[in-house]
Amino acid sequence: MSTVLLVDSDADVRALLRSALEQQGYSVIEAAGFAEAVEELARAPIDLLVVDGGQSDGSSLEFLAQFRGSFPSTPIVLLSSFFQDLRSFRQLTDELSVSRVVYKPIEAASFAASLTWLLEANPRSQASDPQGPSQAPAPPPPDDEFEAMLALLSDEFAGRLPARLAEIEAHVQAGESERLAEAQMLAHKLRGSAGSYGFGLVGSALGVVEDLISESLERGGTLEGFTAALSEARSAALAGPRTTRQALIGTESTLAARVPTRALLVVDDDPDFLELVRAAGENLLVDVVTADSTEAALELAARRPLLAAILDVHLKRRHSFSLADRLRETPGNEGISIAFTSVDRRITTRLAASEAGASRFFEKPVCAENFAEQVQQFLSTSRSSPARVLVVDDDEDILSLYTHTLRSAGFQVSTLTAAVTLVDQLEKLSPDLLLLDINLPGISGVDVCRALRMSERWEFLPVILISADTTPETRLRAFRSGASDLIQKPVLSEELLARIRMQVERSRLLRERADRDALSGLMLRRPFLQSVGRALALSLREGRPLALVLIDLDDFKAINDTHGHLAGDDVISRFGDLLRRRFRPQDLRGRWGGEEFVLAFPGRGVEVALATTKRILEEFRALRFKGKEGSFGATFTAGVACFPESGDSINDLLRRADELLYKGKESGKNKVLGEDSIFSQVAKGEGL
Amino acid sequence: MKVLLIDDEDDIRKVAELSLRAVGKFETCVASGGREGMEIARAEGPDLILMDMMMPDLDGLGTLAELRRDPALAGIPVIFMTAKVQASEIEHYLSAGAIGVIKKPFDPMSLAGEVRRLLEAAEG
Repeated sequence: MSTVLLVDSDADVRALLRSALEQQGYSVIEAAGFAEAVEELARAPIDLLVVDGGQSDGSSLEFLAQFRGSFPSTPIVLLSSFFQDLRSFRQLTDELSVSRVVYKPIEAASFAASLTWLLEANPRSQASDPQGPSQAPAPPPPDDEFEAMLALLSDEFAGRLPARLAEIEAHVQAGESERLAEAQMLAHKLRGSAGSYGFGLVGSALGVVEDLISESLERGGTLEGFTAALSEARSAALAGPRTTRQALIGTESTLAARVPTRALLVVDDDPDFLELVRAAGENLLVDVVTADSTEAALELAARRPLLAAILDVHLKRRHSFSLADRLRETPGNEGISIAFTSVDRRITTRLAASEAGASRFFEKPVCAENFAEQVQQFLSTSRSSPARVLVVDDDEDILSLYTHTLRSAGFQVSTLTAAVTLVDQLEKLSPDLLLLDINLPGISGVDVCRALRMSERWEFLPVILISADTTPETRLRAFRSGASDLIQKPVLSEELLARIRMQVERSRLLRERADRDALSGLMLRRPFLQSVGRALALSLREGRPLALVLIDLDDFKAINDTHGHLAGDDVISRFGDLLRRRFRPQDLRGRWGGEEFVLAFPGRGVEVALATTKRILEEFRALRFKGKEGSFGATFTAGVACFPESGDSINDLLRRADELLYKGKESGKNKVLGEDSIFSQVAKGEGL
Repeated sequence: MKVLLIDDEDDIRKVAELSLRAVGKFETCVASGGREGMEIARAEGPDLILMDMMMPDLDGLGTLAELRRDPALAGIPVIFMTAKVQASEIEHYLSAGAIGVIKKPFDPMSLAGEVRRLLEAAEG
């Protein structure tokens, strides 16, 4: 058992941390001050020192230096509030080898869980280190620290946002011009800072607020639209910060060349279509650049890297098929995905588009409602992680040739020389495609293929067989065994790549479709469980919280009975819409079945998930539906569970969320109940 | 390399300081307004000043003018941060002697890099 010495002058903090640490199986020694800590250290060896560094007089640094002198290899975790430590961060990590600086308020349980990692990862705790502090391992990479600190700041910022927005509202409602000016100033400030904390959408909504107020101040206008803009800011605030870089809006300076994010290029001379794509891009947080001619498109492509391109088939009455290749020849844009669009519905046009290398065809006129979704699907194939290919061939030379070809085209490649351990390898690697020689020693490629098709897990895995012999019999054998494709030896690398790409793209597309519920557009139960399983494993490893929410629509059976099943379907589908539009990309949303839904928020604790779900309930209540008996509204009841408070397995979380949901139903429905947060007291008492 | 960061907004100071220190490995000192900024500049002798344009006591341009009047501080390069970036305004700021303008909101991940690039561009 590892022993932790906990030095903090605050008895409440000590008690809280002690209980969390003991739950993780640590033995804890407490000290209220440094003198007491020194005494404890003289008594027994420890594996880890957790010390509050909040003393501004520098005594904590003195103590740490002394400790380091006597215990060169014991990891130190420093607890403190933000600013002091940022200033002395270098000194702490470089000179005193502090392993980790944790900022208050601390989430006790996740903190305790993260220490496990520290003790395991840190060899200094295993044995004494004769070389002394100068040989100590390097401090954690600054990027991780930076990300962690930024996430922390963002959370704090998020906590202050509601009050700030309320303040703006109060000033505006007072109506006097002085108060209006104050509100304008506040909106301006928040507009400037929100984006830097990942709340770009809050920032843009506040931009509207600021402009409205300043207009009203100048011309005495009515402030129409203020409420809408402010409520937009509110819901964007509740949606939480976006930490992906592309979501941070408007980073640029005027002299330095900015490193641009990859943009979606749209080449079309139809202004309506351009407008639609721009709107979709805004929705998806993708930069959209447009051109109305081949020349303009090429010039743009030469200037900035592209994510993907959508090209109209007809530009200035000429075909634009050749533009696809020319775009891919511009530096940095070699592998981009291309889609064509046209009013021309002939199959020959689509064929020409596909020959030009397009992976999508958008038929015009496009449907405005789901166009953003179509674009997202198109982009997700172009942005997805590199495909993993497992190659099985008994000839090592051929293996290395395929490996080389595939790797240089951006695939991840693993190899096997025999099929014996294939199933284990498949389980381990979970590849996107299997490339298999038809003649393997022992068991043939055809048999392997047939065997894989018999298991549910590998039923749809793309399998490409390679064979020197392509007589009709062999071809039949191959396809009857369930092979997706057959390639003749000697293999042309171009052909190999083209066929592999095609199979991978199709199967990813199918998987994405199959994972979604048609009515609500949300994930189905099984893919949801897989995703949340991965997210939870990550949370466990990193000691970050994860909130899970079970939602059940209230009296859904009565809705169906009174208003008809079509109305019921409409409720499900619009609730699905609401859920799909409201969250961070990493938040998971699924239809659990019937009128039950499930959400997961990686990295979020109970409070945030509770507030978000309540907000969704408010929005859902406001919706009106049409049924047989006229217009009606609907409500839901939800239970919010959280790792680590509710347990550390998906089942624990589901069980707890279900209990809370049931409690909510029992006590009148139309409400959201959350797990008691053991952090809430600390968080409240220890704001920065 | 020490950067003086002047902004009246606590939120901006926090995130900008984080970026400058953790990403850019700059030393930093901070002030919450133009007047305080002048004092700290005198005390700390920063190599660069990064400041907000709109501040209640003494705004960015005012602070820049004061800096230029003090021979000890006149040579310190200045970068403005502002939420309003119109071409005419930028030109005005640059002709007043700033070496660059950074738009708010900035991306904390790249702020330090932007600052460094502006500085390098100005030093030629």
